[in-house]
Amino acid sequence: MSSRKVTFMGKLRVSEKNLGYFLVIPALAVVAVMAFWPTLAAFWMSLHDISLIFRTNRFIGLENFKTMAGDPAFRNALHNTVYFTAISVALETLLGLVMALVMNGAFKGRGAVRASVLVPWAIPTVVTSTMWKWIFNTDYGLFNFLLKRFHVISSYLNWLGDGKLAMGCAIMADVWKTTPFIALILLAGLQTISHDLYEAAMIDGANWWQRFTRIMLPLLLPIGLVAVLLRTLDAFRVFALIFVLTGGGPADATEVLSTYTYKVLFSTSNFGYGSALAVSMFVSVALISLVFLNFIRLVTRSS
Amino acid sequence: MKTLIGNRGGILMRRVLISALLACLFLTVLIVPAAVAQEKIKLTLASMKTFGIDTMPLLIRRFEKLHPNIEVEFVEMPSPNYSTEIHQYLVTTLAGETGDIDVFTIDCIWFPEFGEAGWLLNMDPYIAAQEKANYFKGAIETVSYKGHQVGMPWYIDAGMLYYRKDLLDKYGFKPPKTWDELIHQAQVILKGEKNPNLHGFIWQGRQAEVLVCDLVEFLGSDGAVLDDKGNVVINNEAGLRAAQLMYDLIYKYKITPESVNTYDEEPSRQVFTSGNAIFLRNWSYVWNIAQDPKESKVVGKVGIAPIPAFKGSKSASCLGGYQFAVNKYSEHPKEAAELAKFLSSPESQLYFAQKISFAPTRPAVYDNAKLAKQNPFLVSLKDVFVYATPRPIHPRYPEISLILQSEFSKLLTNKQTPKQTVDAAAAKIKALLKK
Amino acid sequence: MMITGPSMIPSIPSIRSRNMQNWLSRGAFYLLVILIVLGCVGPFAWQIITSIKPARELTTLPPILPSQVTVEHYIRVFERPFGKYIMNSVIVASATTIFCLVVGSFAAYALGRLRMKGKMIILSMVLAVSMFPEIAIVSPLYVVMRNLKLLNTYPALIFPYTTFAMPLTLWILTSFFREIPAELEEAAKIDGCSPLQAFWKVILPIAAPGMFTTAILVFIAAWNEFLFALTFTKTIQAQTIPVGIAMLPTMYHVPWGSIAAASVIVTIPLIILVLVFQRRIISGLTAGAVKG
Repeated sequence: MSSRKVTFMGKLRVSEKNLGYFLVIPALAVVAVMAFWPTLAAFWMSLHDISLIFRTNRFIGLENFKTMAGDPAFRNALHNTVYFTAISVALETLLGLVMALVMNGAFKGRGAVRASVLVPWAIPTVVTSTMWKWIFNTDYGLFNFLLKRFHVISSYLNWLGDGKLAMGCAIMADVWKTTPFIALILLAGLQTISHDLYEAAMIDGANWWQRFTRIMLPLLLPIGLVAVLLRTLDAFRVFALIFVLTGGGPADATEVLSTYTYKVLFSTSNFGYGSALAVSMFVSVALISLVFLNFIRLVTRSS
Repeated sequence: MKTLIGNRGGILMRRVLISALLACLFLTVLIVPAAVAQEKIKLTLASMKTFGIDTMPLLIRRFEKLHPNIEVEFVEMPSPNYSTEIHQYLVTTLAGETGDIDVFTIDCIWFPEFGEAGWLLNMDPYIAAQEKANYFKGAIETVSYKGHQVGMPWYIDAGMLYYRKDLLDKYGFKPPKTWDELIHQAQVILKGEKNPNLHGFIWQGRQAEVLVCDLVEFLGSDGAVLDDKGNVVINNEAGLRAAQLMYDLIYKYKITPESVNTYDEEPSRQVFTSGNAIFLRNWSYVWNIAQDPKESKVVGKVGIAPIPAFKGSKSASCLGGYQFAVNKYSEHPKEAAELAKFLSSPESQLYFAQKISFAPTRPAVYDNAKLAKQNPFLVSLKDVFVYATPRPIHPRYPEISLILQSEFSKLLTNKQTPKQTVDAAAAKIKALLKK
Repeated sequence: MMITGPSMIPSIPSIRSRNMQNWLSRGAFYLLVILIVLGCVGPFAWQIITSIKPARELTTLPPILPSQVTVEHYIRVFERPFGKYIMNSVIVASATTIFCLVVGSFAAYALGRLRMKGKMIILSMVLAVSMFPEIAIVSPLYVVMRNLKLLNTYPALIFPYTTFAMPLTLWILTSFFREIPAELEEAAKIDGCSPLQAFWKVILPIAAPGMFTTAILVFIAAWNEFLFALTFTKTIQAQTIPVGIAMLPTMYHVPWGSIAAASVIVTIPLIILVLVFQRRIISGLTAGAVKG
């Protein structure tokens, strides 16, 4: 009896493993066909001196990366990217959590609230960035108008024309646009937490703060980390939003790695150096992911 | 027993997978547009968006009627305020060195770059030598690279000064010919009007290509980024003078708001047509909008003049506009060249001028009596266009432009002095050209 | 954060006290709701106002509201074949979503629930897709598309969108599948279900909030993508909404009223979609537990 069970389980495990690989293959195939070759091409080009204009194409090893190390524009862009990513993702996570908690509540009209929260995510990015450009306009923007009307500022500020303010504007626009992304994932996460757990905690006399920190947060952590990871990767590669809003200006204050790479690739047709910049982004993001992955592994293991 | 379960799982899974796969295949087959078999020669024309929806298609139909063996597919690219995207689209498409597109529209500043890259068909074998004399000299120079004509001229555009005729009249001023006059007039009018929303002089200082256009105009006839021999001269006296003027307009004379460093064409146009600026530097497209009561609050109150100059120097107006070119890797170069020539013909140029106010690159078209009656504004611009100044002509121009944009944006944001700006720009461009 | 009222963290209704403090926290809660809705919808409301303002009033503040309502911007949008752009977007975004969910949920089931080696490696490999900036991939991908003869077809957009939405799909679904208690699946297996049957009958219904959330996120991402859409399509046959909006400006003139109108037109279907599906986002375990 007992030996039969073991073999049964053992066999099942074997077939389960094969089944697993079989199920994973289509997803990997989709990714491989479309992403593998272009990615490989970018890596390959990063080791070359490729200028479309001058029709050069020669292998130079790591020369592009040496150039990059001494390129002040690259350092500026890297700094701006890290700053932008850190601040916007932190804000989005915090606000997203609050929004998810609110949407999770039982109250009248929550359906409308859920739909309205998705509005920023639903507007096309091409429009969002132009919209914020108008709102932040110094002379006829809504932002200056409202702030002055409510006496927050005494005279109109040059939002997109001052380096520090412009970065703040870019972050604000990004937070507005993508907080719903995190909020929605966290909301779905909240939904899979069983009510029984709360009830048990309540019977034990736990107050809402205890219920929040001891039940909800730990259970939300795995999916929350995934949401933050995905957002971080996206924020690090932010492009359209900043390109339309400021074009990297004023005085390079909002130049991020993506906009700089785009200019090198397509304005100067320097595909070697441009690809090297892209590879540097890949490596930076991979390093960030590694930290996250370790976190996630820890969290999933402990639960 | 165990194999059974394994197999059963396998069969079910296969079934699910196969049906999913079939569904996907079906979907793909369904939505891939059927390829149409044809015997006609097929050309693809990629044109940036102009005015009107049928402007280009109507002309294409005319061409197809003249050449029944040719069929033209029309690909519309976005309008020139997406010039970065158009550039990216063309580079991506042309770099493949295949005939994905045959004829395309190209910004006049991209000719050296695309020419050096070898993407442009040499038009010399397809045009008669005397034909070149029928165009403005500058237009032919624009579409030439290393002694060959590699494009067909389309239209010309240039920077010009828009002014509020009503305000200038009220204070007894004539349109300014020099920068000093402009500054003086703006200061007097601003003082007299006491309107806190009114600005003196609006131009384009956003970190973008248009900043270089404005720079070319501030440099005037004495200054340049590169001289005729290709030496970097942006840090000479005229260059410093231009940088100083740009800085002083904002921080000394205060007739230009600090927010000019965020403005490209449209935001600056909005300030002017909503009645909040005395002077505006912009392209010719503003004229029609300023006369449209739906868009503008200054209908009938606007005049135009050439860009002012420094005393004792001549005015410079930045040359712009898109031209036609043929892909060197086109499978039908002869027919493609025919199409480009057709689009650049006197008839087509007159059509564009009448229909969408595009300034012809053939002087003879301006003499058309009908056009003079219908669009006197356009005809009056002939002199501005003849003397328009090109931006630096160099295959590395895009990189030069990025350096200028960055350095002059620092100047307008008050991060560095005019002297530092021209020195830094010169040093960086010199380093670039040494490569 | 201190205002999080009792309704946010589920509690048993009968235990709710009705004292002053509770009223206060209720009030604070609704204040928070209003703030969130205003913050999210405010700029969109501004878009709507912009879309019905006469063009010459766009740069004047005050007044915030238009002196007269105009529909000219909407008329101008439909002067172009805007319906076709919308149809293209619907097809591309739906196909992408279906592809992603079918392929992604199978893989996520394997990664989240089955015993197999190298899960983390597979997940990381897929994640690597979203580590490369899209702008660096456009050119090589264009070559791939041309070689596959897919340029200017729907698949030219569906395939890359599916690829680039795969990390999101896989990671979210895996995470959801993993959190589902093992007992439920074990019970199904004891009842004689194969792993796939267990997946179909037990896991999928419980993971419905995750599935619908993922579907909405993927759909909207595909709906809004611009760079690939511009590069891999050429004509109205396959161009999507963002390209259509980019085609609204003429020469340098940006008709902001029309762009606002277009954005209203393309956003409202999405809002309706979310309103229809929002009940599905909230279901799964909660519903079961409440009913039970």
